[in-house]
Amino acid sequence: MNKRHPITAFYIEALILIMVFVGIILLLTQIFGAGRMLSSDADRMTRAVGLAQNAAEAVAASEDLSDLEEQLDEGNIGVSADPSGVSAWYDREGSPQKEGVFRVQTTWEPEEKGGGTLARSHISVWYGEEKEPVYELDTAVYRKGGSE
Amino acid sequence: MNHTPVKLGPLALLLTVISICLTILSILSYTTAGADDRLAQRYAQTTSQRYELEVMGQEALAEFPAGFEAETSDVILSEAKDLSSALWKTIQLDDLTLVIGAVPEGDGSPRVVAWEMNREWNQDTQINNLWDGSGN
Repeated sequence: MNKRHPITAFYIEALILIMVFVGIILLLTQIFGAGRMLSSDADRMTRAVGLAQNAAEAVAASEDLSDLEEQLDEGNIGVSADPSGVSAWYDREGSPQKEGVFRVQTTWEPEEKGGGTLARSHISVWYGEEKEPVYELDTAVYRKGGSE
Repeated sequence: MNHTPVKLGPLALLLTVISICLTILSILSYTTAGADDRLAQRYAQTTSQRYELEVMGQEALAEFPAGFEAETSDVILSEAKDLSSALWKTIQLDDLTLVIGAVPEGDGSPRVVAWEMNREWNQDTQINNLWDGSGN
């Protein structure tokens, strides 16, 4: 009987040790997971802002909607255009890709002003199937004369 | 029968060291990711602000020459040659400033000769707890 006690104590001690270690590992896994989520959010936001900026510069360089469509169709992969604007797709790295994970929607709303055209544009960057855009940006460009 | 006693001391020590190392790694990983996220948010905010100012500048151009003045007190870094006949407008948004210089053309429309976006920046010259060289 006396010989059994040290063995039982050993098992209990080992069990407690393993349980504490597993608890610590679980906690640390959650911290690593949260860090990964934050890092992934940051990466997505940075790429979305870059894509929105590219689209804003395309707006600044465009004379009209068809010009904007041409500017945004960087990889000649085809963009989707309708009278209100242009949608272009990009992969995770921000390179043009048909049906990529990033969708950049750029509107084109021209308005006659001061003898020229002030075209306002609202740029939304969507990621995957998310319901809210990752990033939104407003820009405008003024052109002398009567572009559409 | 002579049993060699199994001791958990070294194993407990090893697991403790592993736990401490992993904890430090996880904290470093999380704080780095947090810093990345804050930087991304700041980048997004700065970009939105810059383009908000861009919209205000384009609207000002559409209303040219209304709101433009013959002189500007703002520092102009532009190397454009025909600044003498230019009209100027300064637009302020928080700590961002946009200086627009435009020359009226024959039909009254503006030809932009300067478009400068500057951010107020104050150098942080305060160095805390650094020995200033004095003997005391």
